[in-house]
Amino acid sequence: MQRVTLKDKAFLVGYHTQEWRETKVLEKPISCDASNAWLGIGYYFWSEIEFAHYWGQDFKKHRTGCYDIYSAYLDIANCINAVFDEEGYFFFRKKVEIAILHFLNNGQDVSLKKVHRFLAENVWQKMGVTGIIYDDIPTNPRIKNRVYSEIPDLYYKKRIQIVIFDLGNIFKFSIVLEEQT
Amino acid sequence: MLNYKELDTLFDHILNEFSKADLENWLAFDAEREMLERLQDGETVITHHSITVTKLFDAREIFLAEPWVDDIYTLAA
Repeated sequence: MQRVTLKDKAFLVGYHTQEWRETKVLEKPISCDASNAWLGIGYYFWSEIEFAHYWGQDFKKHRTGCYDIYSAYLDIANCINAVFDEEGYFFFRKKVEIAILHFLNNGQDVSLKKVHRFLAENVWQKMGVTGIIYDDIPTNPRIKNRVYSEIPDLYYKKRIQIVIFDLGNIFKFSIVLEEQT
Repeated sequence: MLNYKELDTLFDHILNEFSKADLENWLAFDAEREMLERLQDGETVITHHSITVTKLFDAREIFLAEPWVDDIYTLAA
């Protein structure tokens, strides 16, 4: 994970993939649709450019055949770090389970994705949580022969995503690689 | 840096403010949002209203076919 310091404040560098736009470069990241927002609606970034490429190749070039990768400085000071922080991981896990139970106890059977969306909109931000760092499953259904590991099924690399709920915690958003195939 | 011990009780407090009705309202809002997103993406969404039909029992629907019924069609052909 790449970190930078700007005016004595530490930021994490995140990578954001979008479909290539022939005539323009994005000035800000695009918020994820509800149906794809697995940790809640917000701005999604990869912690490593390698995974940003995979995402582009698999999901972000069906209209134009190309994708762009942007980078940004992310203020993660108030993000739940469920990847490297033991306390953060168990806090996150426990609260997701409590939220699922709350829905069930009120007669609502909901998907995990909906619970995450609910928490992002109604709970996390009210608590001052500005985002979540979590590792996604290390496989990708679109390209079956993608090599993540020299030893099959031993996924030694965490495929880390960061969701930032508010644009105010995203800085220096700029294009890194254009028109990738 | 987040203070998880402080957030622990705050989380429970905020979540418990959501009653059954609040949860239902949010789920309805979320479902509508998802459908609108699909429409914006060009997906065709077919909605229909299901009307509950009261099934009437009519004894005349149940009868045993007479052995000569088949013969009628045989004659007609």
